Amino acid sequence: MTSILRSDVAGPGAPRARSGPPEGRSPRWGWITVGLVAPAALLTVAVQIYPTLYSFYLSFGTVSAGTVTPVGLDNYRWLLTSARFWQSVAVTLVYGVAFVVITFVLALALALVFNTQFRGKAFYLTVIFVPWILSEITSGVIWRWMFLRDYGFLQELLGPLFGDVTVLATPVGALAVLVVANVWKSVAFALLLILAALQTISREIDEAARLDGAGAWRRLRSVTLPLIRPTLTVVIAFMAIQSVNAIGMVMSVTEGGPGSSTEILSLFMYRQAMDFGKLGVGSAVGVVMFFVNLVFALTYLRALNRQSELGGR
Amino acid sequence: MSHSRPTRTLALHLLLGGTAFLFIFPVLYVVLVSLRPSGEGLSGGLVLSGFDTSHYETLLSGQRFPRAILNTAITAIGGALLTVFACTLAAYGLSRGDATRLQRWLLNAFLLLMMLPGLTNIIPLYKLASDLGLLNTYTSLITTFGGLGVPLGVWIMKGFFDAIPREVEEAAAIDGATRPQVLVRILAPIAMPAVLANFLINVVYNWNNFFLPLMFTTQSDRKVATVALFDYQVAYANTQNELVAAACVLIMIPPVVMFISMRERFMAGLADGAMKG
Amino acid sequence: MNIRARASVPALLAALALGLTGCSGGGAGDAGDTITVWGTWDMEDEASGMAEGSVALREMIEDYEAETGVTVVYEHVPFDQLFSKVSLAVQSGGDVPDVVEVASQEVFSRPDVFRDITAELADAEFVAQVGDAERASCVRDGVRRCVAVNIGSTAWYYRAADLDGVAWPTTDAEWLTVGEQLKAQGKYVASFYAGRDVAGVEQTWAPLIISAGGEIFDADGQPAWANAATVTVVDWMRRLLMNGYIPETNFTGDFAAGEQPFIDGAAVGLRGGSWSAQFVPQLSEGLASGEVLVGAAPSIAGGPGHVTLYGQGWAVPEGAANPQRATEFLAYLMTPSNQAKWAAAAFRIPTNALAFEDPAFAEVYAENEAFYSAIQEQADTVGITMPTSPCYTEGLTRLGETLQELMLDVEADAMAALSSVQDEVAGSCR
Repeated sequence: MTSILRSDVAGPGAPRARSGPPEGRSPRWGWITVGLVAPAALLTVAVQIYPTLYSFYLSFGTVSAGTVTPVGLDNYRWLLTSARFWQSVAVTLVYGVAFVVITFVLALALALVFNTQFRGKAFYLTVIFVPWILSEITSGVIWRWMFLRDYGFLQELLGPLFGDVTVLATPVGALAVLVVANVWKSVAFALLLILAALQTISREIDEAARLDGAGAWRRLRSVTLPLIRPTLTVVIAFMAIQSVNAIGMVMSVTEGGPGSSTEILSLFMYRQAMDFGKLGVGSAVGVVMFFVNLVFALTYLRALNRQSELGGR
Repeated sequence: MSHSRPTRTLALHLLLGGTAFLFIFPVLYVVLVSLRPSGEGLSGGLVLSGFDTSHYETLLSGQRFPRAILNTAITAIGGALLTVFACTLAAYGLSRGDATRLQRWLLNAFLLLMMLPGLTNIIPLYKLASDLGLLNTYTSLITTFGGLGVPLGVWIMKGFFDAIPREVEEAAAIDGATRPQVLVRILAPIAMPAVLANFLINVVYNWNNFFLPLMFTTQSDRKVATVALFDYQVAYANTQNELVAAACVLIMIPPVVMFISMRERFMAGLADGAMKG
Repeated sequence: MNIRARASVPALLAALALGLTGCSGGGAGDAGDTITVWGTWDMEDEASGMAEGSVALREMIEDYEAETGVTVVYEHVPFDQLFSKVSLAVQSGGDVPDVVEVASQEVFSRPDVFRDITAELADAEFVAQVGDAERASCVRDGVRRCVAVNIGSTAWYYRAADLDGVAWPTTDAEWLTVGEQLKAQGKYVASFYAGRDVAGVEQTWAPLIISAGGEIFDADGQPAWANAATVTVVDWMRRLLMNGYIPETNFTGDFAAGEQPFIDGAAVGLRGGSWSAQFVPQLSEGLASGEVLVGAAPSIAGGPGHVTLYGQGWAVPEGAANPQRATEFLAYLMTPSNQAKWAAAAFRIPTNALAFEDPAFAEVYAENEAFYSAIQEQADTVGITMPTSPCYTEGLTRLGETLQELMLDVEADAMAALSSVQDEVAGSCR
């Protein structure tokens, strides 16, 4: 029993206990590793690392006509005293938490349902997956149409419930629509990851627990969830990142409105850089976003590594 | 086992059916709008008032939209191929390599990179592309798409490679197979579902990508479908919504078809993710 | 998997090499006799209201190519992306076109993006032929940065018949009384676009604020909109909205939403522009037949009711590969015959005085004389141009958002909101 519980059962993401090169390999394996990783590393440096570093550089200056004039911490100083920046941070937090929580709960619930036996699984799963396959601009167009004043049927449906208000014209309504639209789009992916993890849990473990007399809820809490914790953690991480980067939907559906009440951080950054031409300030916002994400990322990395140590050798 | 199985099954199907409907109905809505006669657009709520396919003909017989779709296909598939190529090699190296500390560091680095706000990179990327004279080319988009998919792809692929026990390779090696033979004959088939899943995910992301192509292309004949849709949305707002809807549907079709047809492989890949230890 | 991957490496490298050697198409090929032009006119459009203008532009380009042997590469860029794309290209040293379609106040909001073309065009023929309005929009402090092919101005239209025994309101007080009367008939006074962006402020809010004696930017270009006049305008708008004299979509919708109630007949009036005939169906027929008239802009707190003027034309961005040919092309577009052709097709008012005599335009003018003379008179007497500022875009955008918020939350303290956003924008306005 103990050996089953402690065996290396893992979904994608939890390092296997016994990875490493096969026995009897040649000494040049180290160089081969480097060579294998090289294309990926090269691409990443060119497309992600270098631009990020360049943004750091830009954030300390003002850009005009192709030349960068260093201004030290001015951009950051302006940000810290800008009411709109802080408003943007607050909105992003609210949006992010709502989005992550709702998506996670929905995805977990659906994954548990899908983990049982029934017919038509593939059909349902496919249908739920379709929103994820759409482009953010396509989805944005559709959601905007559904809430247009006088034409959008969701507006017609929901408006009267709240005193004939135009949903997208109220800060709360607009944010709610954004959350719903993004959850709609993202649940499937989270669902799939969690489902995959659930399916790697050996049937035997579940059976064993049931035979031990544990009820369904108890089994869930004490056996299933802990076993897939790494995947759950990563799913939350993904959703968190997505919420910070969710500019496409915001741009198509509310454009940050009404007023600037749905101007989440990514949109704020985009506007500073592109619409207002303040590349320096925009980069500064990007740097701030980078560090926020870094904190998330490090936390999750630590959780992941700790889990692998626990489950390990 | 459980009591009243038929009721339970019914309840399940109702629940799932309802959920599925909620997820799909915005899509049904846009299909509905795209089939309405000109001028009716969004008015009339949910009624299927007509079956006018002329908007599709207009789009497909013109020059611009088919070209845009072609551009999207080229850049999406090209980028995904590049990603899969780089990721699979890298994941194999990270899974089977012997520089464990370096490996772990690299893996963490990739995980970290997934979390960078992609938007900050647009401006420097734009500058880089234009300095190299690569604006309005397929190369810049393919390379950028390729690079963007690497962190996630490496993570997915490594998970799968890790799940393949070393014994399999060792057994083949003992049987006298050389390393390349092992890779091709043994590992490749096992990893194929994951490779396909990776490819599919990347094609979809690239197909749907909007901002990057918006920045990188100004020439009409290089625009991708999402940018073309954006243009239509602006140009035809409230005058020809049916056309915009038709464009939406057309853009939707290839990824959806791809997904549905490869669905089994995709899901099988994920579901078979790990073999028991 | 690996074998297939290996096979693709040479292919990849080849593609990369091809791309790098510039098989990219477009851009500065042989700089000598090619110019790149970015415009908002869609050459493939045959159906929309803008089609005639596109056709005219295409013909002018073809004639130019035939006459001079210069190759013109035209790129269509949608109007809401054009300015930011050009700015981005110039700022980051990217692919800069030679000629760009512009609105004059954009040019002076970012003078670092557009080239000083005073010298190149000093001897051009059109300089003597254009009126003060053209110079006012494209020349500031002696420096010319654009050419204005026509002057656009905002305009208030209304259907006389719908006004059933009432006159078109011209002052803030009249708007309230007429509003009440029209409301009894189930109609709005007017629909207009007063959205939360630069255009909304330029076209709707600014003339009203200035009419009330206020300002948006001060003489140094710093934000100065937190003043009593702005608050007066906000209060007036709030009264109109709360009493139901104007639809809420004026503030929450897009351009089209600002026109729709007028098109449907739900609103008696429309605040559009001299360009509206291209976007509002039946408008030009209505104007020609006298069914639709041009009304005066609202006067607030006793000040004159203003209309905003734009120079609509072309400019040369900094860093253009071929500025010489570019300015020649600009001069070409400004000749009387081309201006006439353009004005007739795009339903605009030329800036070149001689264009009025050109047969291509004279006929159109005669048919629509009431409209043209009304617009021109307003432009001459009550026209205002937007002030310049280093933070023009950000300032007007933030102001627009604040104004929208104030309209959606009618209890909010206007002065406080305006002051706070004014201070914030001023902090990085340089």
